[in-house]
Order: sequence, then C-alpha cells, then structure tokens
Amino acid sequence: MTSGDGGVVGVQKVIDNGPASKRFNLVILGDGYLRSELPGFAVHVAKFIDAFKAAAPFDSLWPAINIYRVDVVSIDSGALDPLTCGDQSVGSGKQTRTYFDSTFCGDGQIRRLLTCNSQDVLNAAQAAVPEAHMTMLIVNTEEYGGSGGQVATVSAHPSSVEIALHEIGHTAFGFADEYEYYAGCDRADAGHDRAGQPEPVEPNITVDTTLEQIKWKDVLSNKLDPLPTTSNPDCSQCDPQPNPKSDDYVGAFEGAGYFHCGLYRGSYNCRMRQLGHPFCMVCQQAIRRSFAPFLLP
Amino acid sequence: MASSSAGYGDTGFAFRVNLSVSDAGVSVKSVRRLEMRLPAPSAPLPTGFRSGFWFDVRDSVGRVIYHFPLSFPTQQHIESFGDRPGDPMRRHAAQTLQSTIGVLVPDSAQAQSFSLHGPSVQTLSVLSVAGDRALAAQTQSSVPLVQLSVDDLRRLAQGGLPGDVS
Repeated sequence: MTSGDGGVVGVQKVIDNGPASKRFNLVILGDGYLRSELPGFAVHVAKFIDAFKAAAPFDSLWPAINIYRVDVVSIDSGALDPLTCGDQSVGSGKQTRTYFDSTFCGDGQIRRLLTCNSQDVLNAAQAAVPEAHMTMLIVNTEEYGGSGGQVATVSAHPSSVEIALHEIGHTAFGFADEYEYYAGCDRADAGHDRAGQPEPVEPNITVDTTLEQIKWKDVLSNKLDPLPTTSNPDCSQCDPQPNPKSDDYVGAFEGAGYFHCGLYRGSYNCRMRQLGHPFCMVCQQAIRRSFAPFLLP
Repeated sequence: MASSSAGYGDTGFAFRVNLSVSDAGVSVKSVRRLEMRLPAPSAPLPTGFRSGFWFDVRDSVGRVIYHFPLSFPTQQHIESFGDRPGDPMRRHAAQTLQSTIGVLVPDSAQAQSFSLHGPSVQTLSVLSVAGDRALAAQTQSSVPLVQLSVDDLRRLAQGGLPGDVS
C-alpha cells in the first residue's frame, strides 16, 4: 500500500444498534473500488448484511451488532490476478494497484486464495472504529474467492458471503474447522489418520466424548443416547457414512479438526465443516454465550 | 475436566494488545485502552494439557477469570475454498507466519495477569518442513508464550515503552 494507491474517504455506520462501546462492532472495508464504484461497494455491503442477518443465530442477536462501512478508494479497479500460479491455473494477468494490495493466488500456490495486506486493513479499520471486534474486506471482483486470518477477505461473488461467515466463526468466536482432513478426502493426507493431541481449546471440537465431560453436554439431543454417535471404521480415510440422525441432532461425530479419527464434532454438518450449511447447535450456543454482554443496555 | 471462567467484573474497558511473533519469541508491540465490551467466554477452558492458541486473564490467586480461543493467529496454515461455491475447504501449510497477533483483553479490578498460550515458538519456526510445522502446531501441548501483569498493560497503554516490560 502506498498513499498513491488510494485512501480512506469515509465511514458510515450502516447498522446502528447503540454506541460502539456497548455493541459488537463489525467493520467492513472495500478494496479495488474506484471512486465511481463506491455505490457498488455499498450494494455489496448491503447484500452481505442481508445474508449475515439471515444466518442463525445472528437473526436473533441482531440488536447486539453494529456494522460500519469504510469507503476506500483505489486507483485501479478489481484485484491483481497473476497469469501463473502454483496450482497450474491460468489467471487473467490483470495488474492492479489497490489500497490494500488485494491479489488472487495470494500465497503463490492457490488461485482462489484472495489475500490482502491484512495489517494495513486492521490499521485502517481500527483508525475508523477503534472499538472494532471483527474486520472484513470485500474486494471488488466477481470471481469467487477469499481467505481467513485476522481479516476475513472475500470477493463480491454472491457465494463468497459463505466464506465470510465461516471466517467470522474462526476470528470472532475462535471456532475450529470441523472437517476431518487437511489437504482433502480425495488426496493423500499423511499424518491425519488419528489425533493424538490434548484437548483442543476451541469450543466446537473435542477428544473427550464422555457424557459427563463433553463440552457441549448441555445441548446434546438425547443424553440417553450412547456416545460417540458415529465412529470412523477406517481411520486411514474420511468417514463416508451418511448421517444416521437428523440434521439438527447433537451428539459426537468422529472426524474433525483435520483428523479422520480421535477428534469429534457435535453435529454431522456445520458451517465450520462445509460452506452452505448453517452453524450447528454447538456453534450457535457458543455464539449466543459470547454475545450476551452485547445485548445488555 | 474443564474450568469455567469466573466473572471478570466487566468495567466496560479493554486493552487492544498487539503482540509481535518472531523466532526470538513473543513480545508486546503496542497496547491501547478502549471503552468497549468484550465477548463472553463461549465455553469452559479445558484444564490439564491443552492444544491450540488462546489467551487467559487471571486474578490475584491465579484463577482464570477470562479466556478466549484464537484460531491460528500466526496463520501457520491457510484455508482455501476451491474453484466453485460448494467445493470443499482445504488447508495448506503457509510459507511464512503472521508476525502480529492482536487480542482484546478485559481491564477490570480483578485482572492481575495476562498470558498467551500456543505451540512453542520453536515448534512454529524451527521445523524446516512447512507441513510438519503445521501439523506440529496442531497437535502439541500448548505452552505459555508471553505473560504480563495487567499493571504492565495499563502502563504501556499510558505510553510506557514495550521494552520496559520485564
């Protein structure tokens, strides 16, 4: 980022549920928007807010949330898209100078990894809203993509909102990934057969499935049901078995936190396991507990 | 076993603490005191050996009064989302680590000490194979990476230099 690449031109509190000192403050910035494209950024933010507000449990926690839009102008539109990338994909070769240096193939290996200069984004967010709890960047490109970390970075593709919600799960609530592989179920995944670690601190995965100790014992669907709910019969691979219970059933399903066996998740599926699914009951309960202070007057 | 964080006596103030991570360890980069509320702990902190990153705040007798898990703040592995919506997410070992970790720490009368816990810096930085680094960071018992008194945080927030912290 250089000052010649653009700058912050305005801050709007687009969802106002109270003073910043009392609410959870989400700050959304833009990158790769020309001054003439800022109305488009406002539309992209509004679409994200619609999806965020519809996602349980945020629908019932809305009075706890403020959202700020930080308008940022870049001298070029879109994101840098290198011609070549380590995954052998071919990009457009588009060269851009944007305020937060957004680029596809951000690690040099994966085309859809859309990254930015996250420290610059955090600095700009906290300069605009010192009480920021969560920072998100929307990049002005319709290509699908995003990345996580301290800044949830997503493109303006309609489905990228799912990436944003998953990354909010990581950053704002400390959730673990609930998928049971590292590189993928469809490829060699050495070292991920069986977890050998102590209890993870994240609230949504566990090594301990005893009824008395399991982290989410107060939301189990049926305390008389045996735990675990499912076991992976072959720890050398992902568990292919279908869900033996209903979608909202809470028990202990083996396979989570990048391991085929030995780590458990609360529900068969969850936004922290696969995009396009809602947050599971375990994650929803954790979000509700976290947000309790922001609902006070 | 798990221990609940006792109430931390929310005063409506917090410290935004930026920590610097390097091969030499973790140190304080900056501290700012702000009037803001913090999310409540969403689940009890497991006791005994634990894995992952988190920070906690303890009172004068060493009880955890606040804690918060951090999801890979050093970005030792990064997440990708496939070429199309609906594609599975995947993890990849990062070539470089994030060098700054930002946390929000409650400022209350009961708060006496702040600690960041995670895989040892040696685990994160010395292992030469990035994939091993990612896996090791996921599976080893966490250790305290930096410990500070809350008085130190207050002093730094008032303009003290990070180097003044022992």
